Amino acid sequence: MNRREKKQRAAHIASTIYTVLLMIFIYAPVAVMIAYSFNNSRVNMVWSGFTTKYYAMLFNDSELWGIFGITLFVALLATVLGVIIGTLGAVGLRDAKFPGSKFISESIYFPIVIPEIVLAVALLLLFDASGMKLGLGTIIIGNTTLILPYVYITVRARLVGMDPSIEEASLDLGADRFYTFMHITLPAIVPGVLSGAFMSFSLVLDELIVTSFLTSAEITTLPIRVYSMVKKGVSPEINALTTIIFAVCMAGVLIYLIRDQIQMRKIRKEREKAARFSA
Amino acid sequence: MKKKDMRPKPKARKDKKTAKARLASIIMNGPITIWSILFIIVPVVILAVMSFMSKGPLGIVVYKPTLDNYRNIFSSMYINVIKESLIIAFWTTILTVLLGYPFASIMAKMKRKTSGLFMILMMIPMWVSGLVIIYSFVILFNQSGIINTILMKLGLISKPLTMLYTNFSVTVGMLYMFMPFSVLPMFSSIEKLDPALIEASKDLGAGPVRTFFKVQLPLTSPGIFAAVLLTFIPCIGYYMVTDMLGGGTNMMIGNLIYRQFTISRNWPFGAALAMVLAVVILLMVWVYKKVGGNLDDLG
Amino acid sequence: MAKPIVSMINVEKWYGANHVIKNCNLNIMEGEFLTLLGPSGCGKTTTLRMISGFELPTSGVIRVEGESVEKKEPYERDVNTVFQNYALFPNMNVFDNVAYGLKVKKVPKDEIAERVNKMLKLVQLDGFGKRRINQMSGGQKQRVAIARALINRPKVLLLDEPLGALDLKLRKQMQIELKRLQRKLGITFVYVTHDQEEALTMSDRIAVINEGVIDQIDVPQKIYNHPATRFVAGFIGESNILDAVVVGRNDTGIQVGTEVGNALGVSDDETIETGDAVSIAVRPEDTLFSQERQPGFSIRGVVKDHVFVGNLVKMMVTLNDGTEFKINRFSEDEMIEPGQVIYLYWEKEKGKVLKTRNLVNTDSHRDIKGGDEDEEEGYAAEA
Repeated sequence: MNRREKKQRAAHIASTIYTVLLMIFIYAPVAVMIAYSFNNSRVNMVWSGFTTKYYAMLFNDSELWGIFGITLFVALLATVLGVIIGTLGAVGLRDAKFPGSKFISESIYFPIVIPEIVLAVALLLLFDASGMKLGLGTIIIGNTTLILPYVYITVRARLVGMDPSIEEASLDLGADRFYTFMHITLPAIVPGVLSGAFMSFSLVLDELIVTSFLTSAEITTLPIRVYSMVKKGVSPEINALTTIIFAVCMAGVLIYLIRDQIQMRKIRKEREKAARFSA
Repeated sequence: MKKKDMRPKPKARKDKKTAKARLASIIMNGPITIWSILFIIVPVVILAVMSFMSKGPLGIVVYKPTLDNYRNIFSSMYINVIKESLIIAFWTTILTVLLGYPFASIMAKMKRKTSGLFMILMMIPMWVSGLVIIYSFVILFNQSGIINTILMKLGLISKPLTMLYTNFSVTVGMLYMFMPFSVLPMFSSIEKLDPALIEASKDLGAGPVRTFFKVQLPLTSPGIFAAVLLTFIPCIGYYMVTDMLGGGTNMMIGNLIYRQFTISRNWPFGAALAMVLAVVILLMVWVYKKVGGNLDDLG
Repeated sequence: MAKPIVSMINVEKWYGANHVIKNCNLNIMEGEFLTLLGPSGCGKTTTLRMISGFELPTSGVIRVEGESVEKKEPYERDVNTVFQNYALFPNMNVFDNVAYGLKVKKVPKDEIAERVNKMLKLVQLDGFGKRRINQMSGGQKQRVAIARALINRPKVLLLDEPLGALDLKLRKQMQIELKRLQRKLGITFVYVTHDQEEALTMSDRIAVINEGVIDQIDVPQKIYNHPATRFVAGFIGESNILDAVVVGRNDTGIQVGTEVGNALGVSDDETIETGDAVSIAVRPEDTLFSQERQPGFSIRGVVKDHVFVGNLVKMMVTLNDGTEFKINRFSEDEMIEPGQVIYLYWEKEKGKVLKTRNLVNTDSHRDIKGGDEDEEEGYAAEA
């Protein structure tokens, strides 16, 4: 082994160690969270034996499921609204030249360039001044505003990579603008729309600041519930719920990986076939 | 004097559009325009106006312009909170970049698939629930918590370390919260780096250290700056981590603002604090754009 | 020739303060292959896009088959376009790309299949229907784009530098094929290019466009042999062009004086009179030289060097005022050594005397400047 190879090996080992350490840092709290969902103690601080009773309790806790339902509802509605407005806007503002269009497209970035709390406060003042009652509606508006730039940015990134003349080609071949949008533009930007939707959905699910400023006493979401427990200790039930969500996420990743593997194998086989055929 | 142009002026210099094209433009741009005027621009204007009002008895807003709120912010008590916030945000940002950059470089050397997988692995805890998982640090950092127990059993320490409710625990929590998001822009700027440039530098006799500081670092600086903003911006306004891991002893601007709208009910002062925060951040973003940064990288 | 299928009448186009098309009047005849030729930014693509409907003229009328279309949407016009970079739909295979225009019109499925397959055969892509676009070579993509544009049986096919992305050999091949296709189908082709050779080989007529104005529109031979303006003379083929003043004119020719001496030429333009500022253009291959002065000519130069470029030899001559004059010959034997002094001349008919469009040009420059000010005033008034 020469010096160069030795160096490369050392670098490789260092990289591996670093990656492992970082993953430990990231997953240690996750492991703790999962472990304590099986903790027999009501207080989340001490370990007093294994139990699955919190999972059972969780399934019977109609209040918590109600909160979970509201959280999902808010996340879904805000995501749908944000995706529709953001996608249309990203496509529309691409070559818009109406007066003030530049200012509008700059202002869309505001919710991500200023801290969330500023947006939350500003919206609270708006709803107060306009006499709008805080509640589900205001939470949804707030979260939609928060995620709008994410959708806008991911869709724009796809649009930049798209050849604009394919839309002209569609118009040229007799399709009107709606048909062109549905059959040409949308398929081209769909990955951006999806990743924007995914980011938005997960952001809203975990969103606390905007929601807690804009909610009423009657409407509680999961993050608000968790946060209200912080002082007395998060209940193992919440841990159980989070563990389930985590498991679903992991399963999703796993399914994606397996599907990917299968697809790769298929492509490889096809290629081999083609190679044999041409030879 | 300017000579008057006597020829007839051509009319209709604007881009001509058909009625249908105009309708399509309204359908596309209408919603986002209305939304951003109503829920971004107008609220910010109201916020700015509110920051110049003052608080009457029982938290009622008195509509008489004053600069008192801003004067108050720069009084000793609050300036300390701001200082503290800046210090925590500063250290979190430094640590995030210092720890995140090497990992971003490691990922950039991986196959696309593998790096994508690690990216997802980093993000998953945040997708699931940052709050619940951050709370796990309370269990880890406790006096009788997991880390102290392990260290005592190993005989490395004789009495438990105080980790919880310190700047340390707050910074670790923030680091945990924001590192995944800041690795992404650094990763994409390192990945875009042409390996031929590194080779060329080494070929010209520059050592690895020199190559790193003279070639790789300057070329990936937009990614680093994006990471800095992605950590610093949310960090400075975030109050939950401080609340959970700081135990009420540490206060950040976020906590202070939150308080004005809950316990103290001093909306004008809260608005002024939010304005100061917004202006400081916007200045940073302005610098970021000036040095060639792209706002899209902050998404 | 047949009746016009596309007519542009007094068409003007402004982009903000830029006057890109200046009073364009153009008749495109049924079944012809017309090329819009000019340097990049001259307005040729804008002209094409106004016919296809992607740009609306600021003023003027565009007729297709006698019907005004200048306010119609692209999808309401019976013209189709082959785009510069093909603009094929990446999410569809070859068949679906070609079938797109028919699917939009809700043509029955079996008719679509029949017509698409026929069209694929026509462009020699039989059996490629299932291929994805990214599996196709540049030349094949080009054929798909042509097939897709022809499937709707347009009255006019517009082609925007369709061969620009292909390599030279493939380009030559596609030129021949496009011409064959056009003859076979009898469809009017409007072809945009900046490549003069392409224009000369393919077109029935060429419109040479310069700074938004059609300088000359004619058959290729006429464009080459009888350029109407100094710009056309310089843009089509190689020319030596000198600024000159008319000294005298008689039935057989024009005597001009230049900074570097006198010369003879001809012109079709009856309005050229003694004292006019003109240009005289002569092709390098038509330029003759001798050791002594020839009657009517007094242009003197020093041979600078020779360059051998395969099928011909180019000789550079430096004139008294420093301008370079090019002379082409087929063999080295016809050249003389660098450093020698020679006198240049040519057959009177080979020297083209052209009215300089200088007046018009300065006018248009002032136009743009004036436009700028107007624009500002316009906005102020609006605000």
